[in-house]
Amino acid sequence: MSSDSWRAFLPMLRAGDDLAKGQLVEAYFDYVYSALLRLSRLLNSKWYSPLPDVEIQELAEELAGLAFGKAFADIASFDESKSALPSWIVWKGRAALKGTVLKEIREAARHSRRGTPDLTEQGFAGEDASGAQPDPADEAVRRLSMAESDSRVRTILASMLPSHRQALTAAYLGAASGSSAVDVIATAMGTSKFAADSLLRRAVREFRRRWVAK
Amino acid sequence: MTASPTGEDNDLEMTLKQIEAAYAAGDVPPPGLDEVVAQLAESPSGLTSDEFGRRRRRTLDQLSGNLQFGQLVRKRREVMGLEIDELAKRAKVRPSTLDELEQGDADLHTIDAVILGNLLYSLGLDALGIAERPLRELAEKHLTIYRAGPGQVFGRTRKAVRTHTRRRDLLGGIAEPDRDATRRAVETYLTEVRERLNELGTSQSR
Repeated sequence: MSSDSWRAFLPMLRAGDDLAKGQLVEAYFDYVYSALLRLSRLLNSKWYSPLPDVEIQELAEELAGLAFGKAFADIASFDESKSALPSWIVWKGRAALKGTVLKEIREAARHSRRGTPDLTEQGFAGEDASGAQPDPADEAVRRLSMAESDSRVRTILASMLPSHRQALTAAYLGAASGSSAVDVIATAMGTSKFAADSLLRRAVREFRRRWVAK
Repeated sequence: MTASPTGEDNDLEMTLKQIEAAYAAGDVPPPGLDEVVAQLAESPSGLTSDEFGRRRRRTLDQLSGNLQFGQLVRKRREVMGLEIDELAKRAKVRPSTLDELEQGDADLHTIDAVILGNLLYSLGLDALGIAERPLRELAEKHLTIYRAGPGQVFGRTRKAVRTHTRRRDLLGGIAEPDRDATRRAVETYLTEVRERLNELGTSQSR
């Protein structure tokens, strides 16, 4: 767990103090970079490691820079009662994973191997690859329904068993499905892959059970 | 969930899609994020502390963008709610020097590195961090060392012209800047500032 020294910087960050940004980077770069490097390596390994590790390290550095930049830009919306600031920065970086690390992995995979699954079709969980333009009325209904659905997801996650919740959060952070989700959980929860796989199955079952329950 | 797609695989995919959608737009992260991130961050990376340090410095340089040293000092002073006189007293510098520094008009030739270290420490810094690149740029401009010219150069003092500007203008076309000597002078200056910050931080923690 990261230390709480970030709390001292928070008022200054909110006041737009650039020196505080530097102090935060000094204090938490290693932490944020390590977490993003781990996620990037897992993503690369999921696609049969088309990029050498040294490039993944470079991309993770770029990602960490983006994460800090985005976090500083959005600092007004940070809620310290929901998470620690360094975790939130990693989460910001995770949102940029697709546009940086995955993009390069895709390029490398296309050039390195034939028969590698087409990443544009599988992509991240939640990514719509169809490209079809929806009807505006249908889209409005869909958005309303999604807002309700999103709220339910958050409620369910908040009420789940802590270990199950953590497993799903880890799988979500890994932003991938199948074996990669198990890898992320095994790393994030310090368990064997076998235990992570079992935990993930139980977590998904609990989520689905609550989802269909009235 | 590693074999061929099953009902459980589909459930996992659907669940992750729902979670992704639920947290994609908002600013509130999923629950349990701290624990998961801590584990990811603390797993062995295989990198040395030097490698981390190099990447950290590059990120700081990148974030420092077009920042000016004086602006950094002024903003921090304002955020701390200090008047120029108050901060000058704490850092034991002349208020006029601090004011000039904030305005970008100060000449580092006239500000001892130890004094600058005192000032930065009074602003709550224990390392140069994001201020390093802007300070280096300022030092490169102010501490320029010129190669020996053909003889003495005389010039009149002009009002509202800083000493480093005057030196540059007087020696323009007569003596070339000595890049190596300038780099050494800048490094020495920055090292002295760092050492002062370190010294003050160490004495404070005792």
